[in-house]
Amino acid sequence: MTVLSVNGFEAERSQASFERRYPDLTTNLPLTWPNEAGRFGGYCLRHDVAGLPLRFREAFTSPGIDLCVRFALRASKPFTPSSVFIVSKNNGASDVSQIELRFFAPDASNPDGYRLAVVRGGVATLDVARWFGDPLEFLPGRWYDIQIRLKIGDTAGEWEMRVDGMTVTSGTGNTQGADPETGWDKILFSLNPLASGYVDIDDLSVVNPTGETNDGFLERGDWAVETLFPKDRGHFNEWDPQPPPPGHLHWEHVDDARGGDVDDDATYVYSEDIQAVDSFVYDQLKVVDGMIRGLLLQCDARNESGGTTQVSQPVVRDGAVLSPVFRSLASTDYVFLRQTHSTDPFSGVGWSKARVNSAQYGLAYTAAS
Amino acid sequence: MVVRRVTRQYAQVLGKRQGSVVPWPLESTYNPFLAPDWGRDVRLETRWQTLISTSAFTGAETRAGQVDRPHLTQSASVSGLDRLEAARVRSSVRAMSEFRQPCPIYPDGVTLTGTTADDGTDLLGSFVDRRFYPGQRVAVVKRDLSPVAVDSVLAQARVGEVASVTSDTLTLVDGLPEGASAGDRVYPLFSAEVVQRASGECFTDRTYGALQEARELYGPSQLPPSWGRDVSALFPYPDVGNGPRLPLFNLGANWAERIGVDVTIDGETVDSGISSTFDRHAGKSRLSFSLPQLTATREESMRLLRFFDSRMGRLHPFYLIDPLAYLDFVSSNGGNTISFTPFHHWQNIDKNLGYVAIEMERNTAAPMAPWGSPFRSVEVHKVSQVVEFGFGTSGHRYSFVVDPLGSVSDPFPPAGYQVVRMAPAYQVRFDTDVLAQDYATDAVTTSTMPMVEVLDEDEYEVENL
Repeated sequence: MTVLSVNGFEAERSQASFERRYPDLTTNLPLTWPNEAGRFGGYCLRHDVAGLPLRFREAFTSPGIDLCVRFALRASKPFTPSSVFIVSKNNGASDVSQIELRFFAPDASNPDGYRLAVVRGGVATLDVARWFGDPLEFLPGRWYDIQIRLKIGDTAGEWEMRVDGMTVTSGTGNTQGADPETGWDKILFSLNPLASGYVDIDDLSVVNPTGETNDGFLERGDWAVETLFPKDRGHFNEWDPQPPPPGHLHWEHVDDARGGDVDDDATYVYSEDIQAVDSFVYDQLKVVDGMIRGLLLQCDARNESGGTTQVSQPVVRDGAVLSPVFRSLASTDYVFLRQTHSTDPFSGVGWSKARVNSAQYGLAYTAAS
Repeated sequence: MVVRRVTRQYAQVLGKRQGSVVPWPLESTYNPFLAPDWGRDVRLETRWQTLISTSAFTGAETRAGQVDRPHLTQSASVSGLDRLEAARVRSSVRAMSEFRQPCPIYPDGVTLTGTTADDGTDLLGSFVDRRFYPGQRVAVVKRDLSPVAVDSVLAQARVGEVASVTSDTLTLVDGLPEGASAGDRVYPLFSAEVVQRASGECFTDRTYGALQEARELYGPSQLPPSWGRDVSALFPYPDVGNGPRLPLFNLGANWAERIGVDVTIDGETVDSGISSTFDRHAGKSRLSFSLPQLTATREESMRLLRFFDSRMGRLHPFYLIDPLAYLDFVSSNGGNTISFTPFHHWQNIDKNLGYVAIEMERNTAAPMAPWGSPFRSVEVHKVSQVVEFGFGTSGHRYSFVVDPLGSVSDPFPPAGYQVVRMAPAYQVRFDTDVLAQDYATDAVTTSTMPMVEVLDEDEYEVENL
């Protein structure tokens, strides 16, 4: 299993922050940013503006044909029946909708809940989620834990969806859109409440199950995405803080996410020196207790001088720096950079809670391009 | 000069949340409290799900656990002995047939020992050995249950969410309106699925009783298991050398009832002409046991449940001492050989003995060794060889060669100890995924534990989990 992306939505509680994280929005905001409590504490993403569906998507480079997505969803009763999750692929000219999940409105037999259907190519309904033989009701106001495993293909396509750990629909066959394009490279969420309603999403994870020994899902149970923020100075302090000391420590210049926002050039750290390192002590895990499948370090960075340079986000332990995987940084505007540590680089095996808590996470180890 | 700026950084961790119960799925406004009729047992069934494939040649098993949480079912009689109560019972049973409901776990109710102020969050009482978990909902019920007050009392049952729980304090997430007093009761709740069919009967035209059967709703709101797989804090793990590290089931049987011990062998009867022949599949027969259990304390009843949960029903094996202690200890060479008399003709001795259990007690009044607590000190050894050596007037004697002899090697038994019981031991698993505990009170329970021998499992294979 390779973790491609996660989001607990603690760091995107303003429009600026959200647009930085998801620059590929297909519908303009605004959101009201109500800062709703999340599924296991923290925050969730809530959209409660009627008539303006929030559509945000995330692109991946050559992720293959397999896909596992897990997220928690909660909606009020006034919820427009529409697509909530779409997988697509760019065919060279435009994005082609492959398989999607679509809500159907309450009807006479199911007046209080919504039904969820698997739809192909925006037209053909492949199946309706069922629970113990009956159409699955989605009750308003409660969280549902939704997992989707997909293989995008023609005759070799597969899908399976679990709700709260139970398989509610599965099958094989064509999972491609009307304009066939094998595989996928984007996922899109569409949240569309009615007046006085809301749609919430939390604990989003996207993984590639290829090479995994089990069925490609995260195991049953309560899985969460917990966001950690810098809280103290670390072993290395080799970058330069701006504004400069006294009175400002490095970590205080890069902890904007704790407030759910980003302050860009108001406070930041910078470096002109190759191989300069900053590291910070981070929050301790409170919600996630074990079976950690990935730690993702994420930052907002820009290359002030133009041209191309590189930035990495290593793990620091006992003064040693590991996993300096570089990310190209060419933008003179701030962009979102991510580095995935599926395993603890110091041990080479999966993360434990103790090892996540005892490590420092470096913002920087840089090299010239 | 290249200048890089970074304005913020954060980390996100994908992992499992454990040790708590997740969102409350029910939007019901139904008042969950309905006092059970303790004149009849309250039955709690803890259900796991295991898929077992058995080799037709060796009898060896592959077991696949299919769930990571048990499923709870509670059956309780509820009676309404006046019109108001009868109406309450009738409407509640009907409500449970139409909507998913929160349901109290009746035997796990706790009497509060202290006062909780208005909008206070701490409830005081003994929460040990009861099913309270962070994230779970609980119902707080006033003490006064007299018929006159019942209507208002029911109205005062309040539901809160558990933030944390210790042995003597349960802390709610939100303050409890109107607080609580010593003597009030708090019950853990679980989410109950719609009851498809409920039976009841009118005793008179003003009284009514029904069987309230609540099945837990499948999904993330299911309560977690009472214990994890490593149960070493509660049960001994014998040193059996190369044998698998498994716990020993050391709870005594309820000898007021018969203990079933059966022998079966896998195979099928095949028609052959005027008669039939038995086509044996496994190379060895299997013993199965049916052990009735009686618990007298709350700790014992939960100990039984925790052992069952740690085994996840039929999934994980354990060691069991044969109820028939037909071996008689003679001597030990202080090394790895124990001599014994089998108490019957030597030809009948089971030379396939896998394990032997030796129970010892102190000759003095000194405290017992902690091994096997709360019962006598027990040692279980793997038998690598059975040797006949005696003949004539001394009778037939045999020796076990065991590996290893364990912590007491020379002399054996150690000074101050005597052997009081010696019996074969087996590697077994539960023969059911369901533990049904009948609560006569909140502590006294009866149940039956069917177990079956597992064959040739120096290692065992578990799928899924």
